[in-house]
Amino acid sequence: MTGGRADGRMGGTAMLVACVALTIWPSAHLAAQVSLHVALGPRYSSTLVHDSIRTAFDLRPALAPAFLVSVRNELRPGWSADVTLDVAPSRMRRHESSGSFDAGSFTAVAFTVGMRRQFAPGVSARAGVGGLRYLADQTGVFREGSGGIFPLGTVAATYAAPFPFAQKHQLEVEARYDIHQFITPALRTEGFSASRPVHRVAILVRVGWGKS
Amino acid sequence: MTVGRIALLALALAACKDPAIPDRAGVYAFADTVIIGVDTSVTLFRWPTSRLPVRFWADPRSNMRFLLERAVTVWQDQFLYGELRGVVVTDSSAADVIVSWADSVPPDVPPDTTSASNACSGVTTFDYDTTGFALSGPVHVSLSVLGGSPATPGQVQACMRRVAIHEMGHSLGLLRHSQFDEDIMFGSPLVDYPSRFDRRSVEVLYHSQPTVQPPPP
Repeated sequence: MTGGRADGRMGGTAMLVACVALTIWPSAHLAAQVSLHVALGPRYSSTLVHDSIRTAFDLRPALAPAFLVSVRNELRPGWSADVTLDVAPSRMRRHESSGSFDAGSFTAVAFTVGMRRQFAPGVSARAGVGGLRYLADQTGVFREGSGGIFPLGTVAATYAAPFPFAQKHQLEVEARYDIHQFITPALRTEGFSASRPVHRVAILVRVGWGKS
Repeated sequence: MTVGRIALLALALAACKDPAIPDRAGVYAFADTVIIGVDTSVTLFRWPTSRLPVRFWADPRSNMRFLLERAVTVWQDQFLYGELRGVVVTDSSAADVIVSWADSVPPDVPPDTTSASNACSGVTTFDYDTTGFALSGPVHVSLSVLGGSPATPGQVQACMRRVAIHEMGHSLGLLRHSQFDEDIMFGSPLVDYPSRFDRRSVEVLYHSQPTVQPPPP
């Protein structure tokens, strides 16, 4: 039998393919106001789970790279809209009083739509909403699945240096913050009844192609 | 703009307080006691993080390797935070836990789960050094077919699956038996998998301070 949904990992893969297709497809039809951007940089994430068994400890992603692909469409001078695919593989660490220990890994995939406004030459801000899904082996906190797609809110501040080289390559530096709620079926089984806000901060360097 | 307002609303809604930490009631006594001289000491053993992955060796006869890998996976899956990892090794001299058949070797047939027949048993042995506070060598586990049992080979295999998980529980540090037959660590295990109380107990064990050190690597 083929074509069936084998497990949660397949669902995540399908979503990833769909997001990539949605993000990349417009680049084949780059209109006058449309540009493609790729960004890379480190990301910090706050605690996913705070628990206490004998002593308190936290489960937290390690500092990890984030990779973003965006398609941006200028609406009118100073305003643009974009769709962004954000992929961030990371290892998890269990932080307790006696040290920090490996606790598995995951890849967080987020898809957002956002509006960007330029406030001053080279300085712009973005706000967006979307969804985030964790792709992971079915072990640990993900042993009963990833918990589906979590709603996500994001804001960012971007600076484009006024140098010819930077302008030619649409080079930007961005500080990006986002937040979502995290809980998994395994955590619910364990007795957690509510989700926990997870804050993520990334410092990104971006290059672009097409009309800026 | 609408998207900006939605984003700000999402940020505000998400900034809620931390969820409550669940209580883990129902943990059974897993530590043992040992008499050293005139003193009675609590024996609490677990594999420390520095010794992960725990190295298991399986008797190559029949389907022991399958039974062992299955049991290790079942116990690994009880943990949320990566407290335990195990691996099956091919060299018994490099193993932390050695699992072998005690006497007769049962045939590798599909398990018959229609009845919870007591067709097999297991023993887990810890060798302590002279201080009583450290193991002197690998943990030994043996599985055996009960002589004179009227059980079919399929019933023996079903029993072996349960008992392998039970004995691996001992080798991980659940030194005592549960008093409840819903738990895999009940003296004569009747269930196929660890219960939520088994899970809570092994979780608590792996966040407890051990009194017994593992054998030299």
